[in-house]
Amino acid sequence: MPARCDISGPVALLELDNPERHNALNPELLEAIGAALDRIESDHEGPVLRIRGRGPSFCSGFDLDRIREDRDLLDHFLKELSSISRRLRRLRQIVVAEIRGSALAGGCAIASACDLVCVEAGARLGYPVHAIGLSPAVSLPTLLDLVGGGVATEFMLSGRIADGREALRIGLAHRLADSPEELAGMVDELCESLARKGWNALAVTKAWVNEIAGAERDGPFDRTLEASLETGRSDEATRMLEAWWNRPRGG
Amino acid sequence: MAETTVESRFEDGVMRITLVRPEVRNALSPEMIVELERILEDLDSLEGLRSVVLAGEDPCFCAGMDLKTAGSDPESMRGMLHGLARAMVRIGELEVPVIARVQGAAVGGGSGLMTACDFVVSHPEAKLGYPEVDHGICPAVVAPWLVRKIGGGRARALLLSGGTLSGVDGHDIGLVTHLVPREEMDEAVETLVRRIARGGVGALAATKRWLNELERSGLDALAVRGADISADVLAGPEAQERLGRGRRS
Repeated sequence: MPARCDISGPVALLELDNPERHNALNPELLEAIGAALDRIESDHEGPVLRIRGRGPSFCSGFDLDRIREDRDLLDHFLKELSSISRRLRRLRQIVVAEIRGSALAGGCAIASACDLVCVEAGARLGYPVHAIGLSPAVSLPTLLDLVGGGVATEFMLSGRIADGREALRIGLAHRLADSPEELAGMVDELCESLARKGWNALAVTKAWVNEIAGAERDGPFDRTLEASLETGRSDEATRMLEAWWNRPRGG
Repeated sequence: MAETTVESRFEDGVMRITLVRPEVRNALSPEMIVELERILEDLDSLEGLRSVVLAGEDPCFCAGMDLKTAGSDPESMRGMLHGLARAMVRIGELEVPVIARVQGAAVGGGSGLMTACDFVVSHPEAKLGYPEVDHGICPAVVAPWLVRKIGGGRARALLLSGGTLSGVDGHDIGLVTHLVPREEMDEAVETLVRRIARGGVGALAATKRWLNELERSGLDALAVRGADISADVLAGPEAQERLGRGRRS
């Protein structure tokens, strides 16, 4: 299975499980995430969902090799990513992201849709996708909510990579651990502490903040998805993706 | 006549409002909220008002809502939450700057009052925050202000994780505007008051109106709904069970 989902305790766990590919998003993994969210929405009574990636990275974004095999997959990837972002933000459970290593492009989009983002100092977050002719606009609704307009503009347009400390400073992360080992313990504690709070109070508070912040509205999600789709279908994207696939390897 | 729980003193263009129930860390009782609302309402008739300073008598600014007196009676609590929400709306609407002088602690409803102010002067060891979810309560009244002040992401993280944070952390995320050593707080407040007094009255009023239009539109309606959401959660079994446990211990 490309992802593991365990809903036996108060804290549900969703673990992306394709460590050799740094949990790159492919059709199977996206489907597994969607199925896990289905299960959590219908069957999980507890107040928390913890998301992490197995191996050295959280998630390295879309698997571009799969798009090389089937160019139409890019549309599918973007639509699925937009759907996962909305569902995480609106899920009744409090979503805690545990970010070890890279959370890039689509991986950063998933992180930004979580409620409490925990990172280790060596984590790498960002949207370095203009370099391959794609637009990260699809992640804008959740990024804007986290970091505000000024930082979101600079961060997306520059495509720069933030380490854990910088992610905390700009509001993309909410908790920082010094090392990957410490991160796991920190997230254990945070999830346990959430589970001890009032479950109803947590769910009502999340829904209310979402309403105030406009996260229940589909408009911004739809429009930014459309922008990323259009960009992804452009000749420029095709040309730059070709250049990426044919880049000199190794050395 | 009942003892005064909120003092107000108008002098040299500054209205100084002080919560004075230090024996319960200035926890907000129904009477205090009514009194605070009345003082805020009367500010319109003051000639020459330039700024408002909201403070609490030592040891701390305000420990929150006095749940001991009202927590078991949902209707009384609903009334208090609406009163608090109205007081916060009123603070926001004022056309003069409002400064909160926050020493010791500002928790729950106290933190709500602080969040509605334009300036927050505090010190590094202060305990600030919204621990409502720890007690099964929903911080719905303050949420609209907090989202506007520090953004949805940070507001969500703060309100959902409960507990309190230090003055230093509050300063980092934008809750505290002026962080100074505790013994220098009065000086910092007076410096701010003098600075505001030098500005044009009309210019400050126009600026605050404009910021309100951009930042606070729709806030009145959200405040009322927030009070109801909070009251509903408070009246529910989860909160009542947790509060009952607190009262017995």
